[in-house]
Amino acid sequence: MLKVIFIYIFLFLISSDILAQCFSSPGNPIGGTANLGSVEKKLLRISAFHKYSLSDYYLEGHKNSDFILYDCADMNFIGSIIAYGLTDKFTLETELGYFINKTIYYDKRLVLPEYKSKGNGFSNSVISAKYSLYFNPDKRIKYTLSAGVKIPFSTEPQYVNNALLPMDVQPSTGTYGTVIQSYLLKENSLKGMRYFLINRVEINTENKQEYQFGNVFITSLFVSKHLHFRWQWLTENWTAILQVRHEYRTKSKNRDIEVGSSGSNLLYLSPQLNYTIKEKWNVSVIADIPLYQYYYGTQLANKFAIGFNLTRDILFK
Amino acid sequence: MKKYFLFGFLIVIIMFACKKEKTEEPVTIQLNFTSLVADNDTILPGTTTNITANATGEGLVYTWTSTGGGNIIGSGTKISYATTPCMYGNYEVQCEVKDKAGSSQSKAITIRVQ
Repeated sequence: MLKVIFIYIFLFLISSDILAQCFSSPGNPIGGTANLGSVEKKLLRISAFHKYSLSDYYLEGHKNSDFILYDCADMNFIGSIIAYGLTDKFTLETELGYFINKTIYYDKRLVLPEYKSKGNGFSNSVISAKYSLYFNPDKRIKYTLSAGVKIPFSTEPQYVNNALLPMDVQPSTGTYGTVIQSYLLKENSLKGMRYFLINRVEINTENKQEYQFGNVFITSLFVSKHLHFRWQWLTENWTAILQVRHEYRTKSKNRDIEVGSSGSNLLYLSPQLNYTIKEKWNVSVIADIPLYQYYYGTQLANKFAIGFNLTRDILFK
Repeated sequence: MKKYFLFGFLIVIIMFACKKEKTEEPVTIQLNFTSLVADNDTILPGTTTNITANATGEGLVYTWTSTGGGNIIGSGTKISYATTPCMYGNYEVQCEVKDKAGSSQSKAITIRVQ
């Protein structure tokens, strides 16, 4: 069994990066609770995840739109986050990701015969340095700050059958960027609860096609509770996690002109269930349920996303 | 064992050493990219127009690129250009035609979205 899990994680690692996002934004979707501040000295944390997302209706602002260019769009993304504690305060981390597919299906009322545009490939990688600024072991509070650089796997846009793929399905932003993150953790050991507040800012630069994806501001609040029920043998390894996430994207720019239908203000509820195997492996399933979506102009809106996350901690003595 | 390894290594070296260099094939019909035509050069956001490339030559390959926005649907000599929501202004669609000898010619057409 462990061999199978190892192969699975290895496949994830050799492929590469993603985070939750609106469909038309290449980049790394956030993978559950894997990305949580600094780790202790000589601890290697490897996390791999898969995410599926579906979008199938247009919103104009927060109202339904009868716009009909795409019938729907979906994507499968696999990613990994590898963190290593150089000291108890200083952690190096890499995010890698790969779009198995990023596909738009055109509406048959507009395009016949049935047609889809599909992009796939490596997204961006992010290399970050994390520093634990504050740690109070008595109050169980920890605050970590992180700064990193976003590196594209390719600066060239993707073509299929010698036709340039639409920006919506390009797997990478095709340019460099900056990622700043902060993590606030509060634990309550008696109640078996943990609280996280994560902020993430992504600043994108202009790519070779003179297109600049909007900047991203994400705030996530997590509450996790170790489950205790009457049948302890059944529930002792389970943790329930509830995440509320706000994602704000500024408008993209094309040759210095704002793209009308870009940028968004989104609020998600993400329930997550985590199972610990032999105190070494953590397996999670996570869902993204949109609570509120506001899109500038008219854009394809997210319907839902589901994900699977696998994390392993290895301590080198 | 060592002998077999050296023999195998030698074979690999010879294979690479004898690899033929690619030569461009001669063409009898010269590449001539005559026109790039759109069914409609003014369209609304969220609609499409067909664009056709007319060219003569041998083993032609058509590469389509749009700058500034819009989606290219299809490939080859004829594509559809689809505009996305809130897309207004002038947008350029380019087509590069390359023949089997490696010669290429390009043309661009401007589509007005209003």
